[in-house]
Amino acid sequence: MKNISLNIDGKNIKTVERKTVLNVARENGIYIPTLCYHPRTKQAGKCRICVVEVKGLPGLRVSCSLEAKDGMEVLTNTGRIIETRKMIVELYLSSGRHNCISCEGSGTCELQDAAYHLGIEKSSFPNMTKDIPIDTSSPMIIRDMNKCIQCYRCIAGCNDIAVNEVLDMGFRSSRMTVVCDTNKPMGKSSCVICGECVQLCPTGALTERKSATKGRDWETGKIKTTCPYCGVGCQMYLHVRDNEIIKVTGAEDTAPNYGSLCIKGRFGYDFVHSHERLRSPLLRKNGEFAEVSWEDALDFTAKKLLEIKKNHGPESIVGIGCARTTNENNYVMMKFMRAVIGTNNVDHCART
Amino acid sequence: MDDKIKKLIIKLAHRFPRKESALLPALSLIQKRNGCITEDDLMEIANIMNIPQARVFSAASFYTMLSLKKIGKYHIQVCTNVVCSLLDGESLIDYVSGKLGIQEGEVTPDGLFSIASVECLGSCGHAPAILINMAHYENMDLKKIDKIIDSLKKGEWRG
Amino acid sequence: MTNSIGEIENSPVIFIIGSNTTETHPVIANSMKRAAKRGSRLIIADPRKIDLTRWATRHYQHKVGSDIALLNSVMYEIIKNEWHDREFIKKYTEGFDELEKTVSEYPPERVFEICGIPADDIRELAMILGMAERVALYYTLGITEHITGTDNVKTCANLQMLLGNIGKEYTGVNPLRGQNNVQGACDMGVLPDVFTDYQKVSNPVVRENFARAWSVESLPDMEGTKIPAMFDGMLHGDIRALYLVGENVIMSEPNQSHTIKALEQLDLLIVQDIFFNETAKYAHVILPAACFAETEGTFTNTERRIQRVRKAVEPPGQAKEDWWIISELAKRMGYAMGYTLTEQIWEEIRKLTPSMSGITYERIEREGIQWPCPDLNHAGTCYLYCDNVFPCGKAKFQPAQWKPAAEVPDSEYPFVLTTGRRLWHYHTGTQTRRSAGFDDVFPEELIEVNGKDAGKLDIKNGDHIWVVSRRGRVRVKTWVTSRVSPGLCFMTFHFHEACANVLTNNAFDPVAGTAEYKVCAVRLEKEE
Repeated sequence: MKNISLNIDGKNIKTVERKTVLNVARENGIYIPTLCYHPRTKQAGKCRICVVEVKGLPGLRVSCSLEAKDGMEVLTNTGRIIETRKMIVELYLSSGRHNCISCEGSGTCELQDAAYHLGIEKSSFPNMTKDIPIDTSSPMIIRDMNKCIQCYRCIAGCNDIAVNEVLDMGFRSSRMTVVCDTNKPMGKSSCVICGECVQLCPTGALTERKSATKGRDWETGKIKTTCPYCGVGCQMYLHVRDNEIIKVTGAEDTAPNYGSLCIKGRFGYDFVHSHERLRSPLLRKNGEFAEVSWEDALDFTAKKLLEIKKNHGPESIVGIGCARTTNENNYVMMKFMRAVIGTNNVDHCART
Repeated sequence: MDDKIKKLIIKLAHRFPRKESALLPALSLIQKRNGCITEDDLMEIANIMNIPQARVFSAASFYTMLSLKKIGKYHIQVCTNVVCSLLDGESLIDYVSGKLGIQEGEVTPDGLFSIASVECLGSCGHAPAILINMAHYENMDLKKIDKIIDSLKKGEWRG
Repeated sequence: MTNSIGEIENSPVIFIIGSNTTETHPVIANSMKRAAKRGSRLIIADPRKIDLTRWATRHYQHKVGSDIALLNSVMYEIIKNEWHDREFIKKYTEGFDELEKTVSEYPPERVFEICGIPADDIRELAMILGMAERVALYYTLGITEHITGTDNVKTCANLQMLLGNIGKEYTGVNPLRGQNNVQGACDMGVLPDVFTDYQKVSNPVVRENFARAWSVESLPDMEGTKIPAMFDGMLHGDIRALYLVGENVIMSEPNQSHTIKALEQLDLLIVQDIFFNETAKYAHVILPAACFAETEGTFTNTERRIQRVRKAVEPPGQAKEDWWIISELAKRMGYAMGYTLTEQIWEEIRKLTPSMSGITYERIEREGIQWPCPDLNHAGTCYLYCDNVFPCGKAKFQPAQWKPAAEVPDSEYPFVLTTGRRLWHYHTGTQTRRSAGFDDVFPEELIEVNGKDAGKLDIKNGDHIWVVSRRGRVRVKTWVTSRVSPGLCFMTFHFHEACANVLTNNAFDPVAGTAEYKVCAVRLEKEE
């Protein structure tokens, strides 16, 4: 690819061709607000908030859809640009019910960020919208269309990334809204609840039902890990607050899933905190299970294993490992059976 | 969807290199024959063309000439774009509404009339404009509309 | 997988046989659907009309258990039309003549009788695969869970070798592995015949190497017992103790009553798990384990990518990591493992496992690495057998003959029951059924029955019926659907209330020891 150089806000930048002005700016730490653009859904050119001025080109240009060219001189921060962005954000604010007080999106909301950076306290346009009932029909996802800014990211995610093809834009002009199938409630539609749309939503229009009121973004720690379900090995973040996983999101910058998850990976985490989890070693005494200390449980088990090994030989003991636990645990299990018990009678469910 | 329409749509779909291209012709076919497009129709089209239901709905709900609700035998569409509005087009809606006793989106009990406001009908030079089914009327006023509706009621429709 | 997930999206032809990918590997299915949308040909051979067929170029609905016949016939046509890759076969393989001889017995007209696909369709499939420059083949348990599972896999490999679809991008023989770390558990040598990296226990050099590393005098040389034989051993009294780490065998093994009987014979059943599952009831001692979110370590995914698992929360009560429990037991049995961190364990694994020597926690901090990765400067391996170097020298064709399933329908049990998974639950349901919302989406087991069969038996959609096999009976709700063809039913083992494994046949593949979960004969009885 050809090397090019351009100037953004007086800064000379060397890069390669076939990138957008927005990407070049972001790579160089220059903030340009966006609402509809997302690295995974690519440029949409819808919200127009990423406008910049380019010397020699008329009017304002949309930086997410503008290819960076050699010798370009770009300004991202002029008075005209700021005024335009302000007006766009104010129009957005007036065309929905954007109330941050108890919004789950607060802290990760890109509209909130844009309004904050532009210093907008209140829209100067009157709010003419009617309340749209919140769609709570899905067991995992809450859809509040009052907060939708029609960025099309959920539609792109549903159709082009996850290819479940449930969402599209319905109706026109002021009645325009995202629909599921033939305008069904999400819970009655063909939605497979992968949550791609939730992850891509820039506002609080689509949120995780189970995470509601459990903690906002700045209150949680995020730990990157590997999904515990199938063999794809999706990378994801566990959002943790007070020793509780309250939300899961896909890690967007790494193979193999680049942000995508399925219903199990994204929403099947609360078994971790189930009250049915085993909390203490249990020993069967007279047909009943009794809680015992680790010392007692381990002593009993070790003694019994030694006894069986002595009386019936190591071949009378078998171990079944676990395709669900870590390599390290499996290795230790395998080592235990071979080095400690002295048998190769070790297997796991790869065959089942 | 009855078998006859279904067959016609399958035939339509096969006329294009991509079945999806027959989406609008199929929707207008159903509109013409049945006066509205039902949810069942949408799902059937999606099935025939192997495209998402939401895409079919998106198209069907976008065009004002397609209707997802039952409309009257005579569907009166009133332009509410800038020029027509400036020339009092919006009062036409209120007037017709009062005269027929129905709101926008409703059908008269006898099934004869329905009203809808629509985007530009392309008659800004002769505003205000209305469309009744496929017939176009320009330079409308209350008297003219009275006359048209009366003749429609009498069954003297000239198209 | 010989190849990588990242290649799927750009593969010109994707051939999927025996994998319900959208439900079992949804994120991989996303790549397949994206490929189909951008013009790749998605070819599916599956007895059921699975959801992925909506995006498929072609769907061949062969009968359950006829895979070898179908693929042999496809190879018959490929050879007949000279679509095979002669250069690749000559240079890098052996045993082609044998293959040619075997598949010559499978002309499409004869195979139609076995698999139910018209001869012309078999020819079309052969043409699509044969004429394509590259084909990537994907399979899952639809191929392996048969008494001929090993032969099924070999036949898939034969096809890909015949077409030279090995050792290149966008090709390969790609099993999609079901559990998060089934690849890793195999790689770690949790198998009766191998140590890590598939180093044979029968090899004295290998044994000596491990014995030295583990500071023991010697290690057993006799190949151990595979799971199905373990249960038989318990019934015969040869096996007295079972240490069960994280497996709900009562739900997951075929022929449930057989499993229960076997467990009841044990002198010692140690269940180490995160829940008191169905199997725990039979335990003598239960050890509470930490789950994935409570432990450090690594998982290896289906494309051989070793990825980090990190501790996010504390385990409940006194639950402990598996490695801690096992090493405490070892200590009490006179063997000190001395681990305090999982990284120490990984470092030990790395030294004993040549294909992973180059992988450290530090290197996989941001993104996992695919083995083989023999040294610290190696970037990992996206696809195996690059330059057509095979571990055994030349790749060997291993032709196989089709044979019928262990249990075929008859007048008493006229339906074929095949089993699998649904998107909405995972395996025995211990996790998904304890996570809110999942039972709202899919609250109870459904048996898929074709409309024609339902009509004949006067069963309506939603009726509860009894499904009866030679091994047991379960009561289950019906889903009348064209997803299954007439004569075929489908169930899962997610629900203990109606578990397919009460019915399934524990006949197994003699080589792999995999049971025939995919075929058994049942009859459907209306509820009185």
